Amino acid sequence: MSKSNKYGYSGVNIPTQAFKSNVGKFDPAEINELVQEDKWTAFGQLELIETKTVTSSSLITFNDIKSDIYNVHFMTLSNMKTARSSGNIQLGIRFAENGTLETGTNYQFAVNRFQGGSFSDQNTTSFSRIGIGWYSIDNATYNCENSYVYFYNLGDSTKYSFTTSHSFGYNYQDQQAMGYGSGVLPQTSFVDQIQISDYNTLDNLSGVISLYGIKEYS
Amino acid sequence: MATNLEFIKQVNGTSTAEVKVTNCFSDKYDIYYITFSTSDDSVGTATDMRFLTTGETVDLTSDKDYARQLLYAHTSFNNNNSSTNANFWRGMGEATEQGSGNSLYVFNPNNASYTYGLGQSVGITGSNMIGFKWIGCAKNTTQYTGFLIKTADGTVLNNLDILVYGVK
Repeated sequence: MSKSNKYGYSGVNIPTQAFKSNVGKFDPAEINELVQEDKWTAFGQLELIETKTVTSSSLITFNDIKSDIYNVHFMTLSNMKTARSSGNIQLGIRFAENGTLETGTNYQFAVNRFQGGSFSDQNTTSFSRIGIGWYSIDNATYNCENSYVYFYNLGDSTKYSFTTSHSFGYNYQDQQAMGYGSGVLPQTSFVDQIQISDYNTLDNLSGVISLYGIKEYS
Repeated sequence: MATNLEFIKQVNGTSTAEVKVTNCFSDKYDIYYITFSTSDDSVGTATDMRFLTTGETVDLTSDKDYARQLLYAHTSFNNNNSSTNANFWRGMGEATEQGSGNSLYVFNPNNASYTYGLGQSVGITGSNMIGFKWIGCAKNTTQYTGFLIKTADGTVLNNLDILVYGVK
């Protein structure tokens, strides 16, 4: 593309383009070029990375979370259910660091859980995963867990990987249940995968999980 | 046309007791999402949020209520609340060099309604995780244009990275 005739300008003083700073008149080819360079102003900074519709799986892994692009991730878990007839199915998160799943009891979390009409502190400094709602579900019709999770610093190898979350649904006793809390893998590492499972990793789960990146511009 | 989360502003600060984010609230949005992180902060201090009116004038009126729960991985949880406060939000400042995470939603900061907020935070205190769940309300109809993040005790914040989005 000719330098002397770009963005509607002729001559050498072609304005520099950047997100929220587009100057000139653009033809479609120039817009496409700027979009590819991430310099075209378009809103919608909650960027869908992947949606998984799960029908029967004990381990649900997001392999390409683009943690080299996003510092903050957002996940929704909708209508998570289990095929197991007995209770004690509680959803949790594990991370893979440079492709290797962290399976040790190295996670910490704290969840304020409500079920059966009362709150309880659910916390630990050494567990095999980060608990989300941390209430139990079984395969009864309305048992489910619905959650959102924020992830921080997954791609920053100088920082720990943190979560904040909130869940709501019905538990295995057919009671309203809720849990909100925080979690961490207290290891400075590059996290490149997120895995969802129940803490026994034995159960067949179903539901819809979407992972988003929250785009930022300096 | 793309909708949902719309990037407004990013502000960074280090070696400073407060960072102002000016001209980020307007009549374009009713709801804002704010996320920020910090590291290398003093152990034992909280961080506070206050609002800005036109320009960089800090709203020091003691008409803010907040309530928060402190969720510890290693011990029992605590509750903390305050009314008639100048701070809209009090969150964690304890952040080691390993970082922290904060997500807040602010409702109606720039219209003729009370301003409400809710959010969650997470970080490390000592070697153990601490989380926060928070709600707040500014009981006035002031039209705010921005906010600031400050330490409660005047010590410095380091590597503060603040991002503001409008929710469409």
